[in-house]
Amino acid sequence: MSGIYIHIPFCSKRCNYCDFYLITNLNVIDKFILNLKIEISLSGESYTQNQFDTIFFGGGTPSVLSHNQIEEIINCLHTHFSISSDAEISMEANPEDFLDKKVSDYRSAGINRLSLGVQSFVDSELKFLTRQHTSEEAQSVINDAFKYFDNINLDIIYSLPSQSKTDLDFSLSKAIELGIKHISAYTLTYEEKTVLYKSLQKNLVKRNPDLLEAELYSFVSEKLISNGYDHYEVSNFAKKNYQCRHNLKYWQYENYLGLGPSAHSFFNNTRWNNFRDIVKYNASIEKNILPVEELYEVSKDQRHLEFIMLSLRSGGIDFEKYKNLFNVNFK
Amino acid sequence: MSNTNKSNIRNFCIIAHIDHGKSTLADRLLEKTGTIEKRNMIKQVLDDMDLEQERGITIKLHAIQMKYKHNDGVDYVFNLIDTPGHVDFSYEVSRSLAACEGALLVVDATQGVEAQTISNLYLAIDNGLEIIPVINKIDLQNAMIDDVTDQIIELIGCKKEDIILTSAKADIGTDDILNAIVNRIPPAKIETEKPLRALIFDSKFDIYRGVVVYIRVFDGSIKEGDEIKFFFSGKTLIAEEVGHLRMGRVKTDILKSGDVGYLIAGIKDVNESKVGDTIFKVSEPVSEPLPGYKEVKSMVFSGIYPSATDEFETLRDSLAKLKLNDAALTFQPETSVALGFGFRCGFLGMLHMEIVQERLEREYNINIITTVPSVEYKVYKTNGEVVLVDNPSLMPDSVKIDYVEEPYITANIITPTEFIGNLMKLANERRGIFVATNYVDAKRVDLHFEFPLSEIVFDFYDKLKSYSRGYASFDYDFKDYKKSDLVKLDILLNGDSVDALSIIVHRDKAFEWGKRLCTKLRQLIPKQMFEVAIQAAIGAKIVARETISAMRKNVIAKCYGGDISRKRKLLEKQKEGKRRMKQVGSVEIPQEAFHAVLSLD
Repeated sequence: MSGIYIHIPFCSKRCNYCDFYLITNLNVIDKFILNLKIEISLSGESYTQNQFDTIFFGGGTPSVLSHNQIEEIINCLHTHFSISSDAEISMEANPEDFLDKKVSDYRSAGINRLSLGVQSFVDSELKFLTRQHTSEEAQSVINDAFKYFDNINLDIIYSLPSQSKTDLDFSLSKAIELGIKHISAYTLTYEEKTVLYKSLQKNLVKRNPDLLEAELYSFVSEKLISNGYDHYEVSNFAKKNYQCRHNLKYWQYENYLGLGPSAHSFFNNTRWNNFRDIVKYNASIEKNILPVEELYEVSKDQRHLEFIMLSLRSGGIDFEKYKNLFNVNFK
Repeated sequence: MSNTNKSNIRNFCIIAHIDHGKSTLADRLLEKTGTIEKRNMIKQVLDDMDLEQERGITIKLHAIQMKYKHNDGVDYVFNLIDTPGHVDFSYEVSRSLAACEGALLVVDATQGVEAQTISNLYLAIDNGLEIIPVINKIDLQNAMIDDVTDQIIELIGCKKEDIILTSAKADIGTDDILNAIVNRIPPAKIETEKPLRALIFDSKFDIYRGVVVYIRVFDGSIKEGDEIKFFFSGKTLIAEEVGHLRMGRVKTDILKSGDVGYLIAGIKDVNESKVGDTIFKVSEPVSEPLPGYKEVKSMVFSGIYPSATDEFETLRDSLAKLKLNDAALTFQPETSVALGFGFRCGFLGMLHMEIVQERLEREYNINIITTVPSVEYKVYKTNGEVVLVDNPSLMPDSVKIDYVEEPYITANIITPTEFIGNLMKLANERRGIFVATNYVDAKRVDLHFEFPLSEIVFDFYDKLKSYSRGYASFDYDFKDYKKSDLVKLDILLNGDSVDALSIIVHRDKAFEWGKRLCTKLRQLIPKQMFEVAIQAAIGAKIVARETISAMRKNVIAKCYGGDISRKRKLLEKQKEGKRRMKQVGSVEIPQEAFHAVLSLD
């Protein structure tokens, strides 16, 4: 079984720590959806023999799209790919988008797993991260979402400069208390070219020392494990049966197809990625050519390395699977 | 014309500090004498190695013959013998001076007399050369012609009218120089009837012909087919070809007394034709060689290791090739626990060392790791034995040492008077012994010191420049060995001693050095998967310690579809990086760490 990733490269505003490819001009969305559907139809021809059981809308912020647009895309996927009836269909969303859009509409559109970019339940931290919602808004959106979704993930960012353990504990406790089934917890990273990075260089913010970061990492892990979460990947925690099936495909060396600008694919030992730039992406599709920028076969040595790296990051090395993949026993 | 003391040959050299215009002046002379046409001339033809052009230093000496028709109607032959401009090569300088009868002393009108000019000038005077003082760059705005004139008069006791004012760049005064070469430099003495005696003042390896020896014929003559012998090396050979040095080699039938030229005799290695040796004919044995021969001695030593162990053979071949052209370079295999198999190399000085390292990397394309340079210590052991130690890690156990002697040098530092205080401070930091002060003129002094050679091996020159805002210049000469209270400072990483990082220092400085070295290494050694203790020790006593905390993260960032290949590439890069690091015990050390001592501040 394989997965499909759909990249929605739009955000209403860029956060200070973000270095992803994204577009804040929302006027080009209609054209993008048109082209994305063409890409789906072009791509679908090659995978008539493959079964897909996960779809993941990532970004960017997919929730800047209307539920109708999301539904259109899901329907198009069903037309051109063989998708299991019990497929996991995730969508990333920002809490503030559900202040004027209804969560229920997205459930009706076909989404069955929601990943919310909450990041923190402490308002001062949200402000530092230049997020567009408050802690209270997030809590109210989550409570509302639980009426329609059982499977909800929260993204949490920690190890902020001068963040106290008490504040981190507060955010985690809040997530646990709300009944969240899956948590992705990342330490804040300082990526070049971001506003945050510039502040770091000007000494306006101070990066936490490794030792402190390591301590916070252990704290998060211990706290969540003691509350019944499985620490199933370096940065991911889930209650039983709530692991993200789509993300597991990355970590368990399964095939996945990425559609949309800058999306990456891995299928039959080949990796490729689409044009990042939406102009190039559009131009390629308008010529009926798949918008692939770079494609290469992963060599056997490279596959060994990737498999071991990914295994060590998640559930450990599966010897049985290793033997199936490489035809030799692991040693 | 033979057998007359009045010849038309003038053999001379140019003494100048770096950038005072030696090469430009040489270019003018070549142009005026029609040796080379202006349009064919690349800037400064005498410096023909890339490295030389870049550094502006003439590393290996060369010679060139010019024909000049003077206004007295006579055709003259000028042999300009170029001299290396750096203190490391002072013996080679002295031999090329010995091949001349006169020297142009070129001083930059904007800079004045420098230490190096003075030491080479003394060498020229010792060799009995006629000195023609020249002030160059007189057309520049900041030329201090009167001051520099006074300095020169003070220095050599000449008359004001003896000094020629020129600008080689603007071609001012070139004719005056040509005139002085004809009239003031003594004609080469012709002794054609005596048995052959020729001085080797340089040699160069040619891949097609073997060694080309540059010679000055003092007595007799040499021609193709002569059976010749080298006085000191004892080698007997047949002269295959002789000739003059123009823009290239020009074959002639014979080189006679007074001539400067080249000799090819099937010599395979420059070590067989040492600079300063005397050539004579087997049929006419001489009892007295030409004076001044000296075995060149390495002063500074350093280990050179390939950064990839599989390049050991390549390194050996490259060193052997370099040695074909560089008799002063010595090397022998050694092993280091930290660095594996490599060579202990001996150099004339720091510049020589840098040149060799750079040529290995650039011309031979080998990545090398060099250890901290060391001088050669005389270790007197309690059992009466005396051993020479040029590698700190080979220092005998302290209990077996009675005492240690280290090489001292005498140094001349010429500086504007305002920096005397600063330089005294520097001298004090470097264990200098003050000897005397001489005033060069009202504003400049010549400070004499004695220093342990080891103290000037590390960044002394840079320090000198920064303490004097670039104005002071420096020159030195080996003096003798003196007893010193020296200790071996070892560096331990997690308890394992890193032999390549050991240094020998004066006891009073050991604590300070240990501390600074540990701090520096802490910055240079990347975090490992475990804690690393860096310790400095004298014998069993730890004198300083720093700790590198363990690496704890770098793996907790997200890893989804597009991150996988990126992360894999990082791992591959890291693996390549590890290949270039050296593993000591369990700790990986980057190459820069082996230079930590050099960049301590």
